[in-house]
Amino acid sequence: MDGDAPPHGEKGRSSLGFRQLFPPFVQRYFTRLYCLDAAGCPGEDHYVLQHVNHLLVVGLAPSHPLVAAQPPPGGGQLRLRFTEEALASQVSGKRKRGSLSLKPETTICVCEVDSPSDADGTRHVLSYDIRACVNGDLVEVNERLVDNPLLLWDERQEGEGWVAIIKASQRATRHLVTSAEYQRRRAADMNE
Amino acid sequence: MAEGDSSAPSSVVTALGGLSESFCNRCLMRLEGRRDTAACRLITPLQPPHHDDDEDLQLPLCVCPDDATASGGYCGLCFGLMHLDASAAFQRALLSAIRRERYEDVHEASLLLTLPPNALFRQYVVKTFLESRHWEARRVVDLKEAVRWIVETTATSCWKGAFRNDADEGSCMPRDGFTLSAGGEGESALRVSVTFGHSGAEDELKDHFRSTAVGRKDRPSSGGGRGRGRKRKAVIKGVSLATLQKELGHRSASELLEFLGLQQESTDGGPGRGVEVWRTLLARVTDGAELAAIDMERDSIFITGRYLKLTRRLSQTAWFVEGQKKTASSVEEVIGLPLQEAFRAKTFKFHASGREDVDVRMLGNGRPFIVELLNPRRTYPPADITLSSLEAAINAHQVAVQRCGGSLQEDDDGDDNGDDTGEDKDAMAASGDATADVTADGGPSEVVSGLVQVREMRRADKRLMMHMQRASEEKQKVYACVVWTEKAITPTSLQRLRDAAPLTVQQKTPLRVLHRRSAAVRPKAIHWMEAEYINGHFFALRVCTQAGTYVKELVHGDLGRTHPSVRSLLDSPSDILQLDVLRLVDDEGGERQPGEGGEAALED
Repeated sequence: MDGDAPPHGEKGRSSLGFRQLFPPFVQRYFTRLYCLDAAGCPGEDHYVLQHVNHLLVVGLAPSHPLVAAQPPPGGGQLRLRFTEEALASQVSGKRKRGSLSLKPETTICVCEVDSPSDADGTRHVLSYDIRACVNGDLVEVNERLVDNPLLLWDERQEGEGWVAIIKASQRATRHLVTSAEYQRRRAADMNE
Repeated sequence: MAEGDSSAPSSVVTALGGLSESFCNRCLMRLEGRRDTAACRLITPLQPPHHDDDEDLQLPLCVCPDDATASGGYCGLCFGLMHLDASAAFQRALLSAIRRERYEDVHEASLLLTLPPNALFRQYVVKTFLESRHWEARRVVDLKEAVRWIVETTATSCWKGAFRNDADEGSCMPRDGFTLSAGGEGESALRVSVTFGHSGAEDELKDHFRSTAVGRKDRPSSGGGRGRGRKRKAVIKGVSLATLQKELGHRSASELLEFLGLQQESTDGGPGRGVEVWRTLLARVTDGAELAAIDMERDSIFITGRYLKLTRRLSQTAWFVEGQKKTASSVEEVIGLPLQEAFRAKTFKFHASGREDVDVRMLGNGRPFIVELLNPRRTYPPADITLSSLEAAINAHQVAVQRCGGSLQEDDDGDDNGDDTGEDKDAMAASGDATADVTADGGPSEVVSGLVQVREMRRADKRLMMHMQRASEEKQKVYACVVWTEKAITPTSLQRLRDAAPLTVQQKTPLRVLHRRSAAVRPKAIHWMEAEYINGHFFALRVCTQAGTYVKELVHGDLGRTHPSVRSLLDSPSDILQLDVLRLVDDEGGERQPGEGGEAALED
């Protein structure tokens, strides 16, 4: 193992060899799926991690315009709020009763970012809806995002920038694409 | 019929008027209040059938001897049960059940007797009638009491005869003889339940209760099938025994008839006419009572001890997906099966003070467990089987372990095993939905001995089990694990972990068990942490936590859902490679500080 390799260079490079032997937590437990153009909004791709126990973890794919761009420095111009329905969702018991029912297009949270001023001094606010992507029941939202929306840019494998945990049937993920398909489609888009 | 039965007691016959024709002599004796068994001439000397007709008798079985039948059917009160002592079929059934179970070390047993509900109904009716004739119903010997005499005497005699011809009769014969008593006491008392039914019970009760509120409420939903198995259950469901007691116990004769919708045609028509209604209620029956079931059960035996698990390829409990066993073996089977065999128990339940994942070793002083042996046929194994010889056998046991694994490296199998076990006290949930599509390859491919070690095995009682389960909540546990970090570490940077403790982490239900445990944030105390530098990306961590802490999540942070975590304290993605439970800090050992040693006594 290359545990003694120097830690400089790109993220994660330092122990790539070890990681091949021992895949990270997310890869060990999850299948990575993607929802392309969520709710019909072009480019707004979400990832959906499917745990072996079929719980789903939803977040923003690297190609999503919000996270594809650099995060605003300091994050000051960044606001993230969960919808009232999502915050009010209370689950109880093993069966997760009382949770909010989700449709693929249901907005779980809204993230707004101030764009830099135009030449004429007007400011724009870009607003993105982060969506459920699947039919299911909301189990949990990542409330840490409210105080630290920059976590959305955390692309590392153990990323903490997820948005929601959803309990869904196995059928609910049928419209999602695999990681390979996602790479192929988005690479093709870039070549166009 | 035995000659002593022929002379019916005259006084009760007078009170009964014409009704006495429907009853057998022994029932008349009961009504008369003759408690002496001699008066009933119970128990003709028993000739146990020979061994070779040890058939498996089909129940329900008609057990009432024909010679109990006077003309016109069986007695309208006992349905022939009062003549059971003369029933060869009943003796055969008892013998067959006794020989099948082959209970050992039996000194006494208690009898649980269930009678046909319509017989109980009729007993209420006849008592009410006798009272209306100024007969003291208190004197009446209860049918259940009388049948109990007969069954107990027959069973005791059968038990003595059951093993007469056995080569190894010594092991099965009751040492001091066998007694069936109503209140069999003692921890290992045998409970024999004998259930009688009657083919007409359901219809009879339905008829009588049809017009009553009880009948309307309790009546079974529909006529349904007429299969044999239906009888016993349907009757008891139809009109419960408690209902009989409540509805019939305290009514006078006229109230009872009114309740049943059977108005006496004319109160002034003389006593003779009034009897007709009662005669119908208590008429002789064409079928005798049937033996519906003989069940025997003994109280559980509890064996406690501590176990060590020296492998990462064996789960604590057997793993089932949709009723199919997925693992070759498990700690509970390695320990429980030899005990089950030694005590000839029907089955066993394994209770441990907490649990560890399949890929986690249990070292140090071991984890307390209790094996509950259900319905043991033997309470004292032969002299060559002692608890220490069983311990030795378990410790040398050849364990079939899963082919894969060796570390926390999880392929598809590993994931699901990890998924189905947790360091908490959860029973392994039958989460069929979550693992339905898993094609676990749990076949045995390697057999290793000595992977499970037990010690301190001894007998316990049920109270200890309760105590153990309560105590497991408060325990501390010391774990050792190997941690990888993405950022380079130095011995100095690891100091941060040591300084962080003691602390309380907020642990959300880990994702890997969230599908079967309720969502919650559980504060968990981390008492101390001790990190030992290995190289720039690896260190060994020893951590003492409150029971119920998920240590894997404590290291990698579970997507930020356990906070703080080793990941957040070191500000670097971290992962856990190997995990051992080093010690459970319980009543027997006080908390020890890190470095005092002892816990690292790894047997392999």
